[in-house]
Amino acid sequence: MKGALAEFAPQFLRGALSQMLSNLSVDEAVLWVNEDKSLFGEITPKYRAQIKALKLRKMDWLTSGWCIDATSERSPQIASLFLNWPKGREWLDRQTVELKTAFVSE
Amino acid sequence: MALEDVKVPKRVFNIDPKGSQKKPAEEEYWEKQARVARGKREYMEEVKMTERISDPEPPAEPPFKVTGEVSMGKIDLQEQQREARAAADDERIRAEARITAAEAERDSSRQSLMDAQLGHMKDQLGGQIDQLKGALANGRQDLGEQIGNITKFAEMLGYQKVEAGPTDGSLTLEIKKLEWSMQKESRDFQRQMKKDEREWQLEIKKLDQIRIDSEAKLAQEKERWASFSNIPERLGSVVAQSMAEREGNGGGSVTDTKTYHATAAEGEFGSVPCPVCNAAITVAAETTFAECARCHTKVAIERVKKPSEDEE
Repeated sequence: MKGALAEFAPQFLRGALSQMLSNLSVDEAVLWVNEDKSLFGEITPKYRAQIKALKLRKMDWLTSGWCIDATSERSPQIASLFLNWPKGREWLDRQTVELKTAFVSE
Repeated sequence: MALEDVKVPKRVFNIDPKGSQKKPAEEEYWEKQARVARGKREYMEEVKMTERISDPEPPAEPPFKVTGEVSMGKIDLQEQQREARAAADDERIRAEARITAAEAERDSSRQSLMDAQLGHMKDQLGGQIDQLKGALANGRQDLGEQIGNITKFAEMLGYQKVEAGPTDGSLTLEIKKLEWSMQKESRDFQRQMKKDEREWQLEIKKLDQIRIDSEAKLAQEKERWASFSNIPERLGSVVAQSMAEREGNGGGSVTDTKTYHATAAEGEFGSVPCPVCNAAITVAAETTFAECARCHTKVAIERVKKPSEDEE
């Protein structure tokens, strides 16, 4: 069952990320990047526990491009910000690495 | 000096078994004395008994003797009783006479007192009637007051007021009291009803508020979980959209090769609409090229100088 759920992990995280960034304005996103804010810290403990419960072995699919694609439907402004701003893209890369470290079970 | 026979063991304590059973000398002495004393006493008793048999003693005389006589006279108890009864009868007769006299005196006093009271009342009543006549003649005094006074004196003379009928004042008062009590109870009941109604309305409002709060909480929770509950639906739509786009583009890239142009202010973040899908494209500062995140259309950004405040 856990394995089946893990198959849906990308969609699950895609929805979560999309929901999280949908309320974010461009100015706030720029502020996050400039302050190097942790995206993992913005995820509520409940979400974290749910993602951890999936016991993901690897998250190769979690890249900055995947994140941009995930948010492009609901928040094209935010997605294009990370797509067209090198500093923003770098920040997003760092966040994906942090998320992988946090959620992948040993 | 005799030689000691070393082969015979030396006797340390000389113990005489007979001597050890003997009583001490003092005890033996006192026992002997007791025996002597007992023998002497028995001897003396025997001697006394012998003397008593041979010479018996005369009987003992009383210490003193009273002689003489006292005469009590002739006592006739029946005669005494008769005399006592006669004396009691005399005394009773005298007491009855005293009582009769006292009663007669009391009756005469009562009669004289009643006569005096009656005379006094008659005098008073006569005075009152005269006063009433005078008042009626002068018209100064209240007639009701005078009637009340007359009635009072008439009662003193033995006049009995006729008992009140069913329509008298006391009954009316009782009815009034009862009505007042009923009205009070009715008012209290109405007040209690209003109070209960008010409390009930408050309770309903409270429950409504609780319901609204619960619904808001539920909606919030629903919204929170919406992203998770709609995942399959979204997934399906995303997959379908992706497949449709791929089919529409013949499986090739969705990127439009045509380059569009747009303008943005220098050194600032800006936003231009995508010429293809009309989605907002955020343009980073200092960049001259932007890509739509949704349809990947590339747009060339022409930087224009921001008009200064002076020029405005």
